[in-house]
Amino acid sequence: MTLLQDEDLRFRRLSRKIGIFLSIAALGIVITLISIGVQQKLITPKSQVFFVTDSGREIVQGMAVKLSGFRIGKVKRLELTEQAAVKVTLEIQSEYMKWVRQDSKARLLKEGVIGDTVIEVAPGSEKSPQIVDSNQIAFEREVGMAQLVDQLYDDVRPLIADVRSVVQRTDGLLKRADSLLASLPSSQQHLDAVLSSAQRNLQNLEKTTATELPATVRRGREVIDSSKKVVDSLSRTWPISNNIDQPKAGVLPLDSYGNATPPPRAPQK
Amino acid sequence: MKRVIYGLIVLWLTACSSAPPPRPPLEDNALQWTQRGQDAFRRGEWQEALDAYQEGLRIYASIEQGDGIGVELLNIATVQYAMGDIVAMDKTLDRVLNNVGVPAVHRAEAAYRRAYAKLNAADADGAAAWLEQALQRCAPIDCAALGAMYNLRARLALLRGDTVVADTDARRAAEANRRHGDQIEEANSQRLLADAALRSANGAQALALYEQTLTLDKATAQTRKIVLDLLGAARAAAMLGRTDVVAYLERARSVAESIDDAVLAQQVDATRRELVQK
Repeated sequence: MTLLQDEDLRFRRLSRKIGIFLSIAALGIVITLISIGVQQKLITPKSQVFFVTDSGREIVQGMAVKLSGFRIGKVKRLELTEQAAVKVTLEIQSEYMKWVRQDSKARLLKEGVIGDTVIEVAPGSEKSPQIVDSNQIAFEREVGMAQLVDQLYDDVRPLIADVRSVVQRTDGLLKRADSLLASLPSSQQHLDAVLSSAQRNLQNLEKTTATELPATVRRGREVIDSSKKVVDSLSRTWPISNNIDQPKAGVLPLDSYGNATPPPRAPQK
Repeated sequence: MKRVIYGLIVLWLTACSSAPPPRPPLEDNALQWTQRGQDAFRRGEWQEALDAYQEGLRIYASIEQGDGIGVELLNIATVQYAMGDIVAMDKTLDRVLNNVGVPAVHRAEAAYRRAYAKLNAADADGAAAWLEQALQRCAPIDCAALGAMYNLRARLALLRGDTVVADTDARRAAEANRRHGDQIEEANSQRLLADAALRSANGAQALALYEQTLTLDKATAQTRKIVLDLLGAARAAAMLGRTDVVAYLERARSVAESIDDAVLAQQVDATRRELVQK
């Protein structure tokens, strides 16, 4: 019966060994949980700020809060106020609160065209004091795609109306141009007739100037020459000749004092 | 009897109306070119004046008309001087001086113009030499430019400080200019007499002469010379210690401003500084 002893040496202090083993395992689990918490920033100190908006559309709990593209917190909760507005509380890691100042502004925007919706906090100016925990921050919504399309449509609608009226006027002008083009052949006939008449007149004028004009000019010159002789003769006749200076080739005068300077200075007494 | 008297009257009138011989057409043409040149010269269009005189010269040369040749050459020289082309002017004057076909009066005038140019170039000796040649040719025939020549000699004497010679020449000039009815040169003679009197410290005589000159210059509308007369009068008045010095200077300044002559205005200002702030 010595072979079947009730107390095997390997089972001595078994409960103690199991206790140590379970303690180490529990410690490992605790360390792992703590390290995960630290890594996920679950146990870092946080501050809260809030904003009030007329609608909670597109804002959800747990939504990322970003500053300069970096995640600095999340949307902690949404509450409906007495005035039917929505109070949104943001939870921001305290280490980033130094950039959130009183003139900072939270904006709801989409990351890219089809990206997630986030709340972006714009850093405030350096002169502005840092925002205090649980205080309010300004908020605005970025204009969404649908709103943009609405605005664009409002802008484009008068233009479309203008284009339509221009097209209508062009139609009218084209109709009138058609009627003018239709009447062009008769105008061309009139023009041909006028040009033919002008050509005939020019030919007549050429004939006249070729024959009669030189004779007229010649006669005019003869008359002028005769008149000049009469006037010359008359101008040499007494007493008219006394009143007419006979032209004579004269020398240009040269003033002896022409370029003289002011009178000389008198001598000092 | 009446018929005889009427007949005599008609005969007398017919004699009076006999026309002088008409001028040859070519000469008439040359004369027109000369007049065109003079008009252009008065307008200050030198090149047009030069072209017109050269055309006139060509015509006179073609008929060997010495008087016309001399006139045109002298006019060409005057235009060249106005254009600042002294070398060309000298050559033109040589053509007058060396051409025996040109009347002595024009050669005397050429010598006078050379003397004038020399004086302007600050060559007093050269000017004096050419002026003597001009007077030698001009005085025997009492040419129209005699008074101007004596005036120029008076200016030369004043430059040398010889007020006695300046006074004598200016008196001769005044007499010659009165004889030839040249009012502008007569005023110049009067002004030179006044300048000489001022140089001789004879303020009263100078002032009277400047006043007389002023009257003559106003009659011939010689604006620049009116300013010179007023400046002279101001100096003479200052010499006499009179109170109207500033009045003369202000009149001079006003006339200088009316013709936009900045240089003359500056001369007035300089005289004012000298006389008033002394």
